[in-house]
Amino acid sequence: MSATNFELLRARLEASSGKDIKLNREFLKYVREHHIRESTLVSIYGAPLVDKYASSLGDELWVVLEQVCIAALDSQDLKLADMCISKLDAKFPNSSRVRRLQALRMEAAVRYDDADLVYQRMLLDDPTNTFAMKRRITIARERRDLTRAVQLLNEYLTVFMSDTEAWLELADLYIQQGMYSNASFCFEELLLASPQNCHLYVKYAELRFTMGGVENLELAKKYYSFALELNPDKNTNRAWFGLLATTHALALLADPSSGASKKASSAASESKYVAEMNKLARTQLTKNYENSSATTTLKECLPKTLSDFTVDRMPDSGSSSSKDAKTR
Amino acid sequence: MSSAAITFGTEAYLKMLLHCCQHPATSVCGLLLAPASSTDSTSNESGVTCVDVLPLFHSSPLGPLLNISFQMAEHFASQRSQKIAGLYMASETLEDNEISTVAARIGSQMIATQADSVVFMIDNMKLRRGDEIAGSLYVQKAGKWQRSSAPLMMEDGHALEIPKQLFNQRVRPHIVDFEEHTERPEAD
Repeated sequence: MSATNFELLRARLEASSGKDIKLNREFLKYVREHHIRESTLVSIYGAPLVDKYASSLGDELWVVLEQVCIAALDSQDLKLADMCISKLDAKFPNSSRVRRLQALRMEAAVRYDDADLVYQRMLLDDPTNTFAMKRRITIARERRDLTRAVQLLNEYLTVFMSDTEAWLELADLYIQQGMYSNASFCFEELLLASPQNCHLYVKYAELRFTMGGVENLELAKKYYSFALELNPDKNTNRAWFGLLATTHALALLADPSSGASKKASSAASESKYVAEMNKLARTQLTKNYENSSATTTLKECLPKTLSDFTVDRMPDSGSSSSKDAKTR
Repeated sequence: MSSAAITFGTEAYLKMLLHCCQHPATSVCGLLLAPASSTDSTSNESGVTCVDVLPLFHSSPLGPLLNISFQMAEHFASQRSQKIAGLYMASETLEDNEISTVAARIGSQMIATQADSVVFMIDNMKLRRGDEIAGSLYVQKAGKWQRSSAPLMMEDGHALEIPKQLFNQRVRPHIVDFEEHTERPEAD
């Protein structure tokens, strides 16, 4: 819902070419309240607000200056950022909030060492300054010092362990380095915190698939199924595709001619309902594509792709099941 | 195979850059498509012509979707008499423009099916400047990925102006990649 409101607001904004100051103000306020990251737009439409029309904003000016400053830094408009900082500094000398913006300004100018020093000083004054902690992690990440970023992020999480965004970021850092089991741990923390979030289950299943091996594929299969149970209605193609790929991978492993070890092969062939789930995934994907307005080319590609991943029956699975397909 | 030059069609190059710009905070990747008729080992000096790209992901690509998207991409390409010629990838950070481990891994898997696959790593610094083709081509020699010294060319020499204009006008890109497609099938 908020996505559509935002789109409407943006359309009105673009239609007015930024000449409607009240609309600009409304847009910036909306972005602030909903924590949306639209730095280019905020810079473009905020610039006149803090410059020509500053006097009409009253007390809102300071919050808007801060917002536009950060957006300007994000979209590399350093001139605009500097203008904002100098106005804020003039009004609030020695403000720690302004100092944060100055440090961000250093980051934008790729002066990472200087910025890092400022953050370290902030942490000496206040060891729980989460802003400074997070910026140090981002600097490490930007410098591709992922080991350091991971170390700092772990330190942060020992104190602030309920910060889900942080866990997600840590998982991503681990994934980038191929440290999948560490990433798994992060996802497990996330799932404990938000057990109703089906996107998490899908991502976790993808991770398990990538880790490979029968046990992980089994887990992937279960998590995909659970995600689909949680949210059977819309936007589920990612999960169905995942289930398709997972069942196919299990069938491949179970096939004794595939080169997998005997142990893996027999473990895989004991996996339940693989063929049924595979069929269910194919049926559902076909249905979803037909009901959608996907382009014809894509709709034509789908059956061929599906047939690449078809599993009619598990190799060596004994009696082929005649039960109806189940997801459990 | 020997180092191949790559020539970018205008639309292909633009789509690739716009895909990057749409997701400035993450790494992006996609596939390069070339006409199916271009042969490999006997190709002449013009090398590979990339006529289109297929944007895939704007987050770290993991197992299952990667497999599926590749298969789909192959069918999609062959339907348009094209083939997958390689991978393009852009890092999330400004200065990291060497071939990444993920790109190398995916590239090596692609080489297994098609020996002259290439990896095009987008150079975010060059993207900012906009004067030259924003990236480097990597080819595999003796199992290792190396930067190719062969020239990169645009099909239309003036095409490099277009990204600059687009950036100046702050055009909002809307490129749909495979990841987004899985959320909304009508997006293509």
